[in-house]
Amino acid sequence: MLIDSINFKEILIKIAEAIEVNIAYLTDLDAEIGDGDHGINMNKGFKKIKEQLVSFNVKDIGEMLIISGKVLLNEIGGAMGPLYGGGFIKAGKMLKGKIELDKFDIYTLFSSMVDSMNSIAPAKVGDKTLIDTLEPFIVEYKSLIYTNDLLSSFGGALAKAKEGMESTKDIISRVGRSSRLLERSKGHIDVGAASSYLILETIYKYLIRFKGDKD
Amino acid sequence: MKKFINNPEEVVNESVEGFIAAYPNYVRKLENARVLIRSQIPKDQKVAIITGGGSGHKPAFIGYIGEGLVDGVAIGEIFAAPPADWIYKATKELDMGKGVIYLYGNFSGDKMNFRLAKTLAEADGISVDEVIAYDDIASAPKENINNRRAIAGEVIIWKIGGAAASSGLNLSKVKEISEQAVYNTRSLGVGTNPPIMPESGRPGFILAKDEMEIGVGHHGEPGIKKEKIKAADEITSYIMNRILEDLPFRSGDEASVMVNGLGATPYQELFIVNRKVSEILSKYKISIVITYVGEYFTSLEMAGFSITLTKLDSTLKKFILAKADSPLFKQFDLNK
Repeated sequence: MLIDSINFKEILIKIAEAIEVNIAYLTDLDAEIGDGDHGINMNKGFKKIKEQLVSFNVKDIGEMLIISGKVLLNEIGGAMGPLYGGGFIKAGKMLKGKIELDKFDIYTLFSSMVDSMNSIAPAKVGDKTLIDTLEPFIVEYKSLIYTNDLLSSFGGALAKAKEGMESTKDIISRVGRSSRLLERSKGHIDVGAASSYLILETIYKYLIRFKGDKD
Repeated sequence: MKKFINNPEEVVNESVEGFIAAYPNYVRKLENARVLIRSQIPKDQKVAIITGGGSGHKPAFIGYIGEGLVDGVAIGEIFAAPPADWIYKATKELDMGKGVIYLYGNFSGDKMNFRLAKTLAEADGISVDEVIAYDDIASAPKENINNRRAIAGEVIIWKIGGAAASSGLNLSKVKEISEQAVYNTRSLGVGTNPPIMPESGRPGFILAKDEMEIGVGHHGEPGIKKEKIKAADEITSYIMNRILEDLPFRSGDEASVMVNGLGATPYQELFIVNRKVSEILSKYKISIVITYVGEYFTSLEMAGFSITLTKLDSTLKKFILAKADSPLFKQFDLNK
């Protein structure tokens, strides 16, 4: 299974649509222990990415990621701008020139994204951040790709990502705005962990739909 | 949601446009960034002061652009940090050859974006330094003071840091004085009603009708605890005790006072609070150098208030009393 430029563009657009549908869910999660703006800003960013991608005809997937990353970094701000924006740009640089991605490229994409996030705001598993979703995903995905195809590796890793996201419910946060709440942050899923899971889940749903004609 | 807005997505842009229309002699907008800077940059070179943060805090941040305060502001979305690119553009525009200092609040999004901007500006050969405010004692214990967030104390940091830069001091000196201002400033707030986010129409936090959130943050973040609402004197005494013991303030100290409304609390109540504040300070023999009562750093239509005390030595006192002239903060030179 290979993901070509058209698929990749469609995936980014699907992500934008998934975030739009889930604004209220993300905003309410954020309102419990944060400041209630996460869904709105994520939506604003991905909506702009969607607009950019629709008007541009880029074949280079790396370039597509860089363009999207710059939208987030230059126009969105917040914490998600540098985290996702920087992550997309780093991944775009690593995948520059690619017009299709195989299962190893998908690993490169997510691992370089997380490297970039860690260089901007270091966090580890258990800190109640989006890393609780992304790190287990990457670890599991890496262990699966050598013996499995893209879709089943992604599916297996997604299950770990879900466990990771749900684990943030019982964590006292140590990083970011909610960290000041100490024990009061317990009992709520971290909104960054939730939105990054939403992104992964959207990609997986897309891949399932395209399995038939891509195998 | 009852708000006088047009398109919820354009709330920040339209508000900035109206602000520029009101104060063209004070501010102008950069072309490719939502950044406001002083319309007339001082002719004698000085260290430039830049701040920024999320919107929804009027008069902060743009109301403080002017003489003796800040020179430029990067304007984020409601309660979200401005992008690094805009802060970088403000830095390029405002550097007068004596360097630039970022004075902003301790929030992870702001830190990421200001630090990215600093890296970009330094690559262009501009000297950039930063001082981060962390005055909210509710947000972390004293052992972990660097993890505290900022609330209304930021205004005091701009006032003192801005006056220091206006007096012609160099970058390292302005930084040192601003750090002293941060170190000596303590705040604590209480919220009784949440702000309503214009884009979602939803409240920033949930509170029962008869409850207050002690230690509420400027974005509605929860603080120390939820409690049944109390009389003004009782809650003011609680807040003052927490603030006084935290620095700690001692008898014989000189201090400035700020009683700040969060957006929907009438001035009448703020003065009732200040009545108790001044009574307590007089009891502890702490002399009040200057008092600010009003809306200095709001949180949309949040109801509640915060109290900020800053311990002043002779240097900080001179700069807090210095002249300031911005759209929403004006003060004569009170040193004379």
